[in-house]
Amino acid sequence: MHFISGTEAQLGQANSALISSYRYKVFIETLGWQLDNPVGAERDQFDRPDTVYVAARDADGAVIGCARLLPTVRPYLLDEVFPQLLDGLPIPRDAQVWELSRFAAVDFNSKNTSPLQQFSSPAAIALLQESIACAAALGARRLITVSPVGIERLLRRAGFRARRAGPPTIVEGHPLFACWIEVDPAQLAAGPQPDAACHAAPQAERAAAERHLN
Amino acid sequence: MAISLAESGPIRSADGCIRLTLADLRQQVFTHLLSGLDEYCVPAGAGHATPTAITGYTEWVGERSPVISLGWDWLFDVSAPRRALRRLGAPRSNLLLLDPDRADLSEAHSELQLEAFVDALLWQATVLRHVELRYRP
Repeated sequence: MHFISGTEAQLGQANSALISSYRYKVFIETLGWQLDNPVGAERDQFDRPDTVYVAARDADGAVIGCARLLPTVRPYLLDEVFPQLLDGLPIPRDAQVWELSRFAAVDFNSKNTSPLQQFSSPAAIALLQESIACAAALGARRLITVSPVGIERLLRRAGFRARRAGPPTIVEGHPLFACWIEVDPAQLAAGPQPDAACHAAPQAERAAAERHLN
Repeated sequence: MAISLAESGPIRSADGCIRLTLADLRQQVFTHLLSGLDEYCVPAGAGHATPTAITGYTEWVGERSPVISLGWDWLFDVSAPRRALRRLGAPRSNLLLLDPDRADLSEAHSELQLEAFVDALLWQATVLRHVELRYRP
């Protein structure tokens, strides 16, 4: 697996088309999202010249994962489509905050990956790590995402520092929430440390706190 | 970060984090939002082996503004003599607890106190009821 990233101009037309086609297969054909798109290509109003994409490709060059990064100083998904997820908070507008969206790590060559199980696969973790690194290179200190409720615990189990920005809200029958993901330079260097218990606090700090309480 | 003693009640920062003392948290009333089974625990039909442990998740929300959100994973040990749900792992929330002087607790201390808070809530019957209704064949 290898990664490519950049704007559409940087990726080129061929790579951009592969990503768009992959997104169509994941979000429209597999997950059944009701979006107004031409057959075979998934794009929306946030696919702009300044949008940054991260894609994972297998040895044969097929796209097996994708992510989209948007600066929050311009319109973005949480801002324009799901502001209710912030429960009345001002929408983040900060050059150090980028939105992560259209994240998928479904390998259509594998028979064992369900759309939800993809989030805990090694490929998904690697793609997220790459996306965070890409965002960091763009100046991000935090990412914000609109995600299904189960994503937060999957992120934490995988060792990412994730925290909800507001309460989950049922949107068209699906519980969604706004999730912060910290861009942690130490974690970027060392890689995420899996934590099956989903702790937010690092293990050493918890151990010290437990000793203090006892 | 120390908070002025003149302030009371929950304080919400720009990133959505709600700060309050454990005493204030205990004054909140929580409502069940949703519960579910982990995907691999969903019954697939007749003929499958009965699992010895069932795991899932649950989400609760406070009834006051700013809305406190609490979620956690749970385990139902089918083989245990006393069959009951118990919390599994750390709760997930938009909270950071304050000490009685309204200074920030560390993330670790806050997490430990939230665990104890969740364990004292009477949530198990509500979650069981919702899961049974949701996955009823």
